[in-house]
Amino acid sequence: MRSRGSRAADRAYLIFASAVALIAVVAVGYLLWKTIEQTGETWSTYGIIGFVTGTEWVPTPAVGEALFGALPFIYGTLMTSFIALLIAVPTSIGIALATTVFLPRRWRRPVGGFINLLAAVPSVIFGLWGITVLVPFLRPALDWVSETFGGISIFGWHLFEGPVTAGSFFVTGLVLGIMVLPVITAIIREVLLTVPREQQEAAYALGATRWEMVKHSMLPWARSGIVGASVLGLGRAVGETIAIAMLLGNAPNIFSSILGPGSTLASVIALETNEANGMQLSALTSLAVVLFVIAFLVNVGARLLVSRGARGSGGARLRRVLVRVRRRPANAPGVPVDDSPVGGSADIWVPTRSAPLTITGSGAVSTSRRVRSRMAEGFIWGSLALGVVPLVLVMWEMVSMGLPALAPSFFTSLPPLDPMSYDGGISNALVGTLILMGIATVIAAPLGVLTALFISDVTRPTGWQARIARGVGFFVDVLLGIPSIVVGLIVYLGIVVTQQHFSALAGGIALAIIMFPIVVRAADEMLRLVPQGQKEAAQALGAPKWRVTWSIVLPAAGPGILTGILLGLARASGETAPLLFTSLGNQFFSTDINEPIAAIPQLIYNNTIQVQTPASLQLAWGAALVLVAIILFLNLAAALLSRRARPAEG
Amino acid sequence: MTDHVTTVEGTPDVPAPPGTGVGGGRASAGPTASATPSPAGTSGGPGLVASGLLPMYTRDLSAFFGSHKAIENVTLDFPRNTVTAIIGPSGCGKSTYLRCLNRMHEMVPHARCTGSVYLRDTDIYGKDADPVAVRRAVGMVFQRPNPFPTKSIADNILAGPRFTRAKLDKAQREDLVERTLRGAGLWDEVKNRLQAQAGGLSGGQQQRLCIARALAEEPDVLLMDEPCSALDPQSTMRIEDLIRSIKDRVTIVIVTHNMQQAARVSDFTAFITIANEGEPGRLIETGFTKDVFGNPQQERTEAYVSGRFG
Repeated sequence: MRSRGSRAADRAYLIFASAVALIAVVAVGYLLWKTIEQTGETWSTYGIIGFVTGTEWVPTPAVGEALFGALPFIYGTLMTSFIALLIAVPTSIGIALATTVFLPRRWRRPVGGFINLLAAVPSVIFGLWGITVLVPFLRPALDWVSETFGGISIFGWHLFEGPVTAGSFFVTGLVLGIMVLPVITAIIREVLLTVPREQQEAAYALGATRWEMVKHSMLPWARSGIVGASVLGLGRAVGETIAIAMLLGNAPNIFSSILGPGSTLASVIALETNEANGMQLSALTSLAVVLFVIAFLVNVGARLLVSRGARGSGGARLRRVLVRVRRRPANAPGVPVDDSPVGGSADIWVPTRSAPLTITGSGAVSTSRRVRSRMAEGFIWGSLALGVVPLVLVMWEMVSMGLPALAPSFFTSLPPLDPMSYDGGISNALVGTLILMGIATVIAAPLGVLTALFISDVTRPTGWQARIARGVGFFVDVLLGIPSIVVGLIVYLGIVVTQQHFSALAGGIALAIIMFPIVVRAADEMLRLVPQGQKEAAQALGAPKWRVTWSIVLPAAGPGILTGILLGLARASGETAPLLFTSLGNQFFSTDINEPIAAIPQLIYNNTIQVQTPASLQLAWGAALVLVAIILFLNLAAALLSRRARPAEG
Repeated sequence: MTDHVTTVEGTPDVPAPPGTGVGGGRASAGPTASATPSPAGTSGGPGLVASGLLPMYTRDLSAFFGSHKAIENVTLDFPRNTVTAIIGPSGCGKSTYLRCLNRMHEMVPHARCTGSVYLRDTDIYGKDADPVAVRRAVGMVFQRPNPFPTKSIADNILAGPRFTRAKLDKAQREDLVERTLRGAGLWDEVKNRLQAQAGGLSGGQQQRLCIARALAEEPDVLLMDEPCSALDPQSTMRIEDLIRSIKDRVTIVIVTHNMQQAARVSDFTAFITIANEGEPGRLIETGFTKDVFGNPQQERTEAYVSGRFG
């Protein structure tokens, strides 16, 4: 018998959780509305079709009228993403296979983890590395390509035409490929690990070589997961901002040489918003909407592809992305039953082979099979090298360039005003980053956890509560897919423009919006892992729902939720794009959350795109080293926690 | 069915164990003669091997997982075109033993084995033996049916030949598919949907497809690791029918924990067990199936087959 009091408390608890979840939704909804409002001018001037198909982008013409068309940026986004995937997908498959099948067992985890480190390197550091290392290194080769193949044209498109510029589609695509590589690899790896051993043994027992086993057992099994991972990688590539803004050269070109400059939706927003107003700001905001729509469609597409791979399992599980992709079980309902009459002896099987099989020597397995398997393995080792080498190079550059900067004064003094000076440090940026992370955590962590509680504690499958819970879940998924530059723009339009000034608070809110969905998803997953039996045991003892949540569910899921918060923080701390026009940056030391504030990623960005001197680059690499150390520390803490996080399976 | 075999005395290359089921579990499934079983342990001579009547035998085979010894010194013969059942309680190492016979055991991390497994006149663990070629010559059917679920029924049959044979034209492929599916007693059920995904078949059909897939490679020996344990009784009966009908063409070694099944399908039975927890499995007794079940020589065998332990 449940008392009246506990019922009321339950009601209050649910209402409280719903209110918090709805506040989060409404707040972001308000910012979105402010953003959409801004785009009105564009649509009324050009129309949706006219804007999207417009090929000219001339915001400040010397003579005549300003023109705003989105097509060059849509083209640039798709082109850089295409080059990136062309490089990343085969390489990721190779690395995933190396770290699940081909490497000796004891090397698989460490190498996989090492590749995962790539994901911890923030975009801005890849931009820095691309400009200072990769571009000069590739220059001779690219010059040669343009001289040799410059004349080639496909339907009038001169693919490799000179002159070769510092920033180009090709180099940007390459760097972008390296950046999405760990994401795609990690998912494919998870999918490959779900291939049952029986499937692998089936191929081996038929006399397959390792590569033949992979080709016939693993790849068919993982196919939809691989496609889903690639599309998810595409989602990443499409939203990537800072590295592209640093590398692509900001020129609104369509079907230009891939060795020349271009611009993407994200990069033009990053580069032009600060100085834009009126029609240009409206057009940039419309570009953000276009970018958001593309990213949204790509993410939905990935979800659908992945769920096709997970067909047969419950709908709620699809959300837990690719971790548990499984095929239909062997005896799924609806398959025919073996009920034809027994007996009627089988036709006799007659072998046709006359000579006995050889099992020794070079003739036992044919040369062509050996060669093909060797070549496949060669490709796999090559992929592994392609994944490991850039990481090693970036790390090397960071340590060799950044370490000399790390004197004690590096942490206590401001950046020098003179770019030639080696004196100075990043004290303002370090403190700024910590303050921004603090603001983001204070906002995103409680909201995220309560939202997750709301989603998971609505157990009834129907009714208005369930509908709201589903709606909130969907909203969180949408947030998860919003490119970070769009988040920056939303906060800029909704808060900075309204308040008439940049502030640390606005920057923190932008980072919180990035953190929030990560926290919700992690917490949601952890809450689901708490065995139903434990909850029911407590409820059977007469505990009201809020009590069960408070004293059973939360303690069990606690470390996991904390892991999610740390991972969200790690992700947010490396972000540059959302800070560009929210916290703005600050040359001086500030702890006032109502004033613009410096941040490490932004300091690296500024030092790279402005006058580059050996001194300013040393400062940038030193800052990069500190930033990566912070991110790795957060990831490491999360990993250590998550080891103890999984509640015992019931 | 029995092949008329003259037992060859004297085994210069392979020392014969002195008797059945004594001293560390050395024994032999030796009785290969038609009328009267010859003294155990005298088979495995070069004559039998040369004449092709002994396609596979093991000598002092021990298998390990890391430092744990799973089976110890198992010596057994598998005469041509017979079914040998390996029985024993759970965890006695009978599946491990079976997986040593086509070098699948070594796929498990830290797994290794010592001793020798002869495929005709060649030690499959010899220096220049190629595990890939060994597995092509020794087929295997697993506990749970494991067809390639996304491949069609026909492509499942053709999976092995596609690895190993240079080229088959369309007619040859169709012939092979039909011949093996007929051999596996599955043809009438699937002939109209050869291009359908194998994942859509019932469990019993899947297992027969797996047997057909193994047969399509025309192996010398077919290993079956509890092939019916995941199936219903009716499907089990069909598999047992199938085993009886194909043993004229292939030598079968079947691991089973179902003693009735061993009694129904096998010509010879080998009983493996562990004396105490943590000790390796040893071969206790082997011989004609009717003798092992009807007149066991060892006390432990009797206890097991009469259901008193294990």
